[in-house]
Amino acid sequence: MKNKKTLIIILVALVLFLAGGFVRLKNQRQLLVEEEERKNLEQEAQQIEATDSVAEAEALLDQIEIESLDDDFEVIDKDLDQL
Amino acid sequence: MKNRLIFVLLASGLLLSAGRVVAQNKTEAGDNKAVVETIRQEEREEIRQEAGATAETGEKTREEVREEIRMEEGEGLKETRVESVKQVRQERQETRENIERIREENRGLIEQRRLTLKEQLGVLQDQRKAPIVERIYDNLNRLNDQIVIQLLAKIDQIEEVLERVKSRTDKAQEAGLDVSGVREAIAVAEEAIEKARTTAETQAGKIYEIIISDEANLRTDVKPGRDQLQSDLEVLRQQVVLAREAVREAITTLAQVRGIESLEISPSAGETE
Repeated sequence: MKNKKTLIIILVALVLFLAGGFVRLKNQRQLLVEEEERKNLEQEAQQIEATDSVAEAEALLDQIEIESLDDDFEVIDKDLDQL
Repeated sequence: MKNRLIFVLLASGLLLSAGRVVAQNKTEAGDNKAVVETIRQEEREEIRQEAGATAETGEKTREEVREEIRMEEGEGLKETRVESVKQVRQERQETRENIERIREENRGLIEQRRLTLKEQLGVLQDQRKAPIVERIYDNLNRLNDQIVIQLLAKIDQIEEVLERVKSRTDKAQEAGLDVSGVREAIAVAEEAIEKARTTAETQAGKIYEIIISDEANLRTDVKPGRDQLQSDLEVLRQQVVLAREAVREAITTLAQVRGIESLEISPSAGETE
Protein backbone atom coordinates (compact mmCIF):
# COMPACT_ATOMS: atom_id res chain seq x y z
CA MET A 1 0.00 0.00 0.00
CA LYS A 2 2.79 2.36 1.00
CA ASN A 3 4.81 1.41 -2.05
CA LYS A 4 1.79 2.07 -4.27
CA LYS A 5 1.40 5.62 -2.92
CA THR A 6 5.10 6.29 -3.43
CA LEU A 7 4.90 4.97 -6.95
CA ILE A 8 2.00 7.32 -7.73
CA ILE A 9 3.98 10.29 -6.39
CA ILE A 10 6.97 9.34 -8.52
CA LEU A 11 4.79 8.95 -11.61
CA VAL A 12 3.14 12.34 -11.07
CA ALA A 13 6.56 13.93 -10.61
CA LEU A 14 7.82 12.25 -13.76
CA VAL A 15 4.84 13.49 -15.77
CA LEU A 16 5.41 17.02 -14.48
CA PHE A 17 9.10 16.80 -15.33
CA LEU A 18 8.35 15.62 -18.86
CA ALA A 19 5.71 18.32 -19.30
CA GLY A 20 8.26 20.91 -18.18
CA GLY A 21 10.75 19.58 -20.72
CA PHE A 22 8.12 19.66 -23.45
CA VAL A 23 7.20 23.27 -22.68
CA ARG A 24 10.86 24.23 -22.72
CA LEU A 25 11.42 22.54 -26.07
CA LYS A 26 8.36 24.25 -27.53
CA ASN A 27 9.55 27.65 -26.35
CA GLN A 28 13.02 27.06 -27.75
CA ARG A 29 11.50 26.19 -31.12
CA GLN A 30 9.39 29.34 -30.99
CA LEU A 31 12.49 31.41 -30.24
CA LEU A 32 14.31 29.81 -33.17
CA VAL A 33 11.41 30.61 -35.51
CA GLU A 34 11.34 34.21 -34.27
CA GLU A 35 15.10 34.48 -34.75
CA GLU A 36 14.80 33.14 -38.29
CA GLU A 37 12.01 35.62 -39.09
CA ARG A 38 14.11 38.45 -37.70
CA LYS A 39 17.05 37.42 -39.91
CA ASN A 40 14.82 37.37 -42.98
CA LEU A 41 13.46 40.81 -42.17
CA GLU A 42 16.98 42.14 -41.69
CA GLN A 43 18.04 40.72 -45.04
CA GLU A 44 15.06 42.32 -46.76
CA ALA A 45 15.75 45.62 -45.02
CA GLN A 46 19.39 45.49 -46.15
CA GLN A 47 18.33 44.77 -49.69
CA ILE A 48 16.01 47.79 -49.63
CA GLU A 49 18.74 49.98 -48.13
CA ALA A 50 21.22 48.89 -50.77
CA THR A 51 18.86 49.83 -53.62
CA ASP A 52 17.19 52.97 -52.34
CA SER A 53 18.63 55.56 -54.71
CA VAL A 54 16.21 57.83 -56.54
CA ALA A 55 17.27 56.39 -59.91
CA GLU A 56 16.68 52.80 -58.77
CA ALA A 57 13.30 53.63 -57.24
CA GLU A 58 12.25 55.35 -60.47
CA ALA A 59 13.42 52.43 -62.58
CA LEU A 60 11.52 49.95 -60.39
CA LEU A 61 8.36 52.03 -60.58
CA ASP A 62 8.62 52.28 -64.37
CA GLN A 63 8.65 48.49 -64.54
CA ILE A 64 5.23 48.29 -62.88
CA GLU A 65 2.79 48.21 -65.76
CA ILE A 66 -0.92 48.28 -65.07
CA GLU A 67 -2.49 46.90 -68.21
CA SER A 68 -5.91 47.81 -69.58
CA LEU A 69 -8.70 45.36 -68.78
CA ASP A 70 -10.13 45.20 -72.31
CA ASP A 71 -8.21 42.06 -73.32
CA ASP A 72 -9.44 40.18 -70.25
CA PHE A 73 -13.06 40.63 -71.35
CA GLU A 74 -12.49 39.32 -74.87
CA VAL A 75 -13.50 35.75 -74.01
CA ILE A 76 -16.75 36.90 -72.38
CA ASP A 77 -17.54 39.24 -75.27
CA LYS A 78 -17.08 36.42 -77.79
CA ASP A 79 -19.59 34.32 -75.87
CA LEU A 80 -21.96 37.28 -75.60
CA ASP A 81 -21.92 37.64 -79.39
CA GLN A 82 -23.18 34.09 -79.71
CA LEU A 83 -26.35 34.82 -77.72
CA MET B 1 10.91 2.93 5.75
CA LYS B 2 14.32 3.68 4.25
CA ASN B 3 13.06 2.88 0.74
CA ARG B 4 10.09 5.14 1.19
CA LEU B 5 12.31 8.01 2.27
CA ILE B 6 14.48 7.58 -0.84
CA PHE B 7 11.38 7.55 -3.05
CA VAL B 8 9.96 10.68 -1.46
CA LEU B 9 13.31 12.48 -1.82
CA LEU B 10 13.56 11.42 -5.46
CA ALA B 11 10.01 12.58 -6.17
CA SER B 12 10.63 15.94 -4.48
CA GLY B 13 13.78 16.38 -6.56
CA LEU B 14 11.89 15.71 -9.78
CA LEU B 15 9.10 18.07 -8.79
CA LEU B 16 11.55 20.84 -7.98
CA SER B 17 13.41 20.48 -11.27
CA ALA B 18 10.12 20.47 -13.21
CA GLY B 19 9.07 23.66 -11.43
CA ARG B 20 12.40 25.29 -12.15
CA VAL B 21 12.19 24.41 -15.85
CA VAL B 22 8.69 25.85 -16.16
CA ALA B 23 9.65 29.03 -14.30
CA GLN B 24 12.77 29.46 -16.42
CA ASN B 25 10.78 29.02 -19.61
CA LYS B 26 8.23 31.61 -18.61
CA THR B 27 10.96 34.12 -17.94
CA GLU B 28 12.80 33.32 -21.18
CA ALA B 29 9.75 33.42 -23.40
CA GLY B 30 7.97 36.33 -21.80
CA ASP B 31 10.85 38.68 -21.27
CA ASN B 32 12.91 37.78 -24.30
CA LYS B 33 11.81 40.69 -26.47
CA ALA B 34 12.02 43.19 -23.64
CA VAL B 35 15.51 41.95 -22.71
CA VAL B 36 16.76 42.21 -26.32
CA GLU B 37 15.38 45.75 -26.62
CA THR B 38 16.91 46.79 -23.26
CA ILE B 39 20.32 45.40 -24.26
CA ARG B 40 20.16 47.25 -27.58
CA GLN B 41 19.30 50.52 -25.85
CA GLU B 42 22.08 50.02 -23.31
CA GLU B 43 24.58 49.34 -26.07
CA ARG B 44 23.56 52.49 -27.91
CA GLU B 45 23.81 54.55 -24.76
CA GLU B 46 27.23 53.03 -24.04
CA ILE B 47 28.54 53.92 -27.50
CA ARG B 48 27.24 57.47 -27.10
CA GLN B 49 28.83 57.88 -23.68
CA GLU B 50 32.13 56.34 -24.81
CA ALA B 51 32.20 58.62 -27.83
CA GLY B 52 31.62 61.67 -25.63
CA ALA B 53 34.16 60.68 -22.98
CA THR B 54 36.95 59.76 -25.40
CA ALA B 55 36.41 62.95 -27.35
CA GLU B 56 36.95 64.92 -24.16
CA THR B 57 40.04 63.06 -23.03
CA GLY B 58 41.54 62.96 -26.50
CA GLU B 59 42.01 59.16 -26.40
CA LYS B 60 40.48 58.84 -29.84
CA THR B 61 40.68 61.02 -32.84
CA ARG B 62 37.71 63.11 -33.92
CA GLU B 63 37.37 60.84 -36.94
CA GLU B 64 37.08 57.71 -34.77
CA VAL B 65 34.38 59.33 -32.66
CA ARG B 66 32.51 60.37 -35.79
CA GLU B 67 32.76 56.81 -37.08
CA GLU B 68 31.28 55.45 -33.84
CA ILE B 69 28.39 57.90 -33.97
CA ARG B 70 27.85 56.99 -37.60
CA MET B 71 27.75 53.32 -36.61
CA GLU B 72 25.15 54.08 -33.96
CA GLU B 73 23.04 56.07 -36.40
CA GLY B 74 23.32 53.22 -38.86
CA GLU B 75 22.03 50.80 -36.23
CA GLY B 76 19.09 53.12 -35.57
CA LEU B 77 18.28 53.30 -39.27
CA LYS B 78 18.59 49.54 -39.59
CA GLU B 79 16.12 49.09 -36.74
CA THR B 80 13.66 51.56 -38.29
CA ARG B 81 13.90 49.78 -41.64
CA VAL B 82 13.40 46.31 -40.12
CA GLU B 83 10.33 47.54 -38.23
CA SER B 84 8.92 49.16 -41.37
CA VAL B 85 9.46 45.99 -43.44
CA LYS B 86 7.87 43.94 -40.66
CA GLN B 87 4.78 46.16 -40.61
CA VAL B 88 4.42 46.06 -44.40
CA ARG B 89 4.72 42.25 -44.43
CA GLN B 90 2.11 41.95 -41.66
CA GLU B 91 -0.40 44.18 -43.47
CA ARG B 92 0.18 42.25 -46.68
CA GLN B 93 -0.34 38.94 -44.90
CA GLU B 94 -3.57 40.21 -43.28
CA THR B 95 -4.96 41.31 -46.67
CA ARG B 96 -4.10 37.93 -48.24
CA GLU B 97 -5.75 36.06 -45.36
CA ASN B 98 -8.86 38.27 -45.55
CA ILE B 99 -9.18 37.73 -49.29
CA GLU B 100 -8.62 34.00 -48.94
CA ARG B 101 -11.34 33.88 -46.28
CA ILE B 102 -13.75 35.90 -48.46
CA ARG B 103 -13.06 33.64 -51.46
CA GLU B 104 -13.68 30.58 -49.33
CA GLU B 105 -17.00 32.03 -48.11
CA ASN B 106 -18.03 32.99 -51.66
CA ARG B 107 -17.28 29.60 -53.20
CA GLY B 108 -20.49 28.08 -51.82
CA LEU B 109 -22.62 31.10 -52.81
CA ILE B 110 -21.24 31.11 -56.35
CA GLU B 111 -22.08 27.43 -56.71
CA GLN B 112 -25.55 27.97 -55.27
CA ARG B 113 -26.32 30.78 -57.76
CA ARG B 114 -24.88 28.65 -60.53
CA LEU B 115 -27.48 25.96 -59.75
CA THR B 116 -30.27 28.58 -59.75
CA LEU B 117 -29.06 29.80 -63.16
CA LYS B 118 -28.95 26.22 -64.44
CA GLU B 119 -32.60 25.79 -63.44
CA GLN B 120 -33.55 28.98 -65.31
CA LEU B 121 -31.61 27.82 -68.36
CA GLY B 122 -33.34 24.43 -68.28
CA VAL B 123 -36.54 25.95 -69.70
CA LEU B 124 -34.83 27.48 -72.76
CA GLN B 125 -36.04 26.10 -76.06
CA ASP B 126 -32.65 26.58 -77.71
CA GLN B 127 -30.49 24.48 -75.39
CA ARG B 128 -27.30 25.34 -77.35
CA LYS B 129 -27.32 28.71 -75.57
CA ALA B 130 -27.45 27.28 -72.05
CA PRO B 131 -23.75 26.25 -71.81
CA ILE B 132 -22.70 29.62 -73.24
CA VAL B 133 -24.57 31.51 -70.51
CA GLU B 134 -23.15 29.17 -67.87
CA ARG B 135 -19.65 29.74 -69.22
CA ILE B 136 -20.14 33.52 -69.10
CA TYR B 137 -21.30 33.26 -65.47
CA ASP B 138 -18.21 31.19 -64.57
CA ASN B 139 -15.89 33.53 -66.44
CA LEU B 140 -17.32 36.63 -64.75
CA ASN B 141 -16.51 35.33 -61.27
CA ARG B 142 -13.20 33.74 -62.30
CA LEU B 143 -12.08 36.98 -63.96
CA ASN B 144 -12.99 39.01 -60.89
CA ASP B 145 -10.87 36.70 -58.74
CA GLN B 146 -7.97 36.68 -61.18
CA ILE B 147 -7.77 40.44 -61.75
CA VAL B 148 -8.09 41.26 -58.04
CA ILE B 149 -5.11 38.99 -57.32
CA GLN B 150 -3.10 40.49 -60.21
CA LEU B 151 -3.78 44.05 -59.05
CA LEU B 152 -2.94 43.14 -55.45
CA ALA B 153 0.47 41.95 -56.66
CA LYS B 154 0.93 45.34 -58.37
CA ILE B 155 0.03 47.10 -55.12
CA ASP B 156 2.71 45.05 -53.35
CA GLN B 157 5.29 46.04 -55.97
CA ILE B 158 4.36 49.71 -55.64
CA GLU B 159 4.72 49.42 -51.88
CA GLU B 160 8.20 47.89 -52.30
CA VAL B 161 9.27 51.00 -54.21
CA LEU B 162 7.81 53.24 -51.51
CA GLU B 163 9.89 51.32 -48.93
CA ARG B 164 13.01 52.40 -50.84
CA VAL B 165 11.84 56.02 -50.83
CA LYS B 166 11.28 55.79 -47.07
CA SER B 167 14.72 54.28 -46.56
CA ARG B 168 16.48 57.08 -48.45
CA THR B 169 14.35 59.69 -46.67
CA ASP B 170 15.35 58.29 -43.26
CA LYS B 171 19.00 58.52 -44.27
CA ALA B 172 18.53 62.09 -45.45
CA GLN B 173 16.83 63.03 -42.20
CA GLU B 174 19.71 61.48 -40.19
CA ALA B 175 22.09 63.60 -42.25
CA GLY B 176 20.16 66.72 -41.29
CA LEU B 177 18.47 67.40 -44.63
CA ASP B 178 14.98 68.89 -44.75
CA VAL B 179 12.66 66.08 -45.82
CA SER B 180 9.33 67.42 -44.56
CA GLY B 181 7.96 67.67 -48.11
CA VAL B 182 8.99 64.08 -48.84
CA ARG B 183 7.34 62.88 -45.62
CA GLU B 184 4.08 64.49 -46.74
CA ALA B 185 4.33 62.86 -50.16
CA ILE B 186 5.07 59.49 -48.50
CA ALA B 187 1.98 59.86 -46.30
CA VAL B 188 -0.17 60.57 -49.37
CA ALA B 189 1.30 57.53 -51.15
CA GLU B 190 0.73 55.30 -48.11
CA GLU B 191 -2.88 56.44 -47.98
CA ALA B 192 -3.35 55.72 -51.70
CA ILE B 193 -1.87 52.23 -51.27
CA GLU B 194 -4.12 51.55 -48.29
CA LYS B 195 -7.18 52.73 -50.23
CA ALA B 196 -6.34 50.52 -53.22
CA ARG B 197 -5.85 47.53 -50.93
CA THR B 198 -9.20 48.11 -49.20
CA THR B 199 -10.92 48.42 -52.59
CA ALA B 200 -9.31 45.13 -53.65
CA GLU B 201 -10.65 43.40 -50.52
CA THR B 202 -14.16 44.75 -51.19
CA GLN B 203 -13.97 43.73 -54.84
CA ALA B 204 -12.87 40.20 -53.90
CA GLY B 205 -16.10 39.84 -51.93
CA LYS B 206 -18.40 40.60 -54.88
CA ILE B 207 -20.31 37.92 -56.75
CA TYR B 208 -21.65 38.52 -60.26
CA GLU B 209 -24.90 36.80 -61.10
CA ILE B 210 -27.07 36.45 -64.17
CA ILE B 211 -30.85 36.49 -63.94
CA ILE B 212 -32.71 35.26 -67.00
CA SER B 213 -36.03 36.97 -67.73
CA ASP B 214 -36.83 35.77 -71.22
CA GLU B 215 -35.19 33.58 -73.86
CA ALA B 216 -35.54 36.36 -76.43
CA ASN B 217 -33.62 38.77 -74.15
CA LEU B 218 -30.72 36.51 -73.19
CA ARG B 219 -28.03 38.93 -74.31
CA THR B 220 -29.78 41.84 -72.57
CA ASP B 221 -29.98 39.80 -69.36
CA VAL B 222 -26.32 38.80 -69.40
CA LYS B 223 -24.66 42.05 -70.47
CA PRO B 224 -25.35 44.15 -67.33
CA GLY B 225 -23.37 41.66 -65.22
CA ARG B 226 -20.42 41.85 -67.60
CA ASP B 227 -20.55 45.69 -67.68
CA GLN B 228 -20.85 45.91 -63.91
CA LEU B 229 -17.74 43.72 -63.47
CA GLN B 230 -15.72 45.80 -65.91
CA SER B 231 -16.80 49.03 -64.25
CA ASP B 232 -15.97 47.72 -60.74
CA LEU B 233 -12.59 46.39 -61.82
CA GLU B 234 -11.82 49.65 -63.58
CA VAL B 235 -12.41 51.51 -60.30
CA LEU B 236 -9.89 49.22 -58.59
CA ARG B 237 -7.44 49.57 -61.47
CA GLN B 238 -7.65 53.36 -61.24
CA GLN B 239 -6.92 53.18 -57.49
CA VAL B 240 -3.78 51.17 -58.24
CA VAL B 241 -2.72 53.67 -60.92
CA LEU B 242 -3.27 56.51 -58.41
CA ALA B 243 -1.13 54.69 -55.82
CA ARG B 244 1.67 54.28 -58.37
CA GLU B 245 1.49 57.97 -59.30
CA ALA B 246 1.51 58.98 -55.62
CA VAL B 247 4.75 56.99 -55.17
CA ARG B 248 6.15 58.66 -58.30
CA GLU B 249 5.35 62.03 -56.74
CA ALA B 250 7.20 61.01 -53.57
CA ILE B 251 10.25 60.02 -55.66
CA THR B 252 10.16 63.35 -57.50
CA THR B 253 9.95 65.27 -54.22
CA LEU B 254 12.83 63.21 -52.82
CA ALA B 255 14.94 63.89 -55.90
CA GLN B 256 14.52 67.62 -55.28
CA VAL B 257 16.18 67.40 -51.85
CA ARG B 258 19.65 68.86 -52.27
CA GLY B 259 22.46 66.35 -51.77
CA ILE B 260 20.18 63.33 -51.60
CA GLU B 261 22.16 61.14 -54.01
CA SER B 262 25.51 61.67 -52.33
CA LEU B 263 24.25 60.37 -48.97
CA GLU B 264 26.13 57.37 -47.61
CA ILE B 265 24.84 56.22 -44.23
CA SER B 266 24.69 52.46 -44.33
CA PRO B 267 27.40 50.94 -42.11
CA SER B 268 24.94 48.22 -41.15
CA ALA B 269 24.70 46.94 -44.71
CA GLY B 270 26.08 43.43 -44.98
CA GLU B 271 25.72 42.72 -41.28
CA THR B 272 23.42 40.19 -39.70
CA GLU B 273 23.04 39.57 -36.01
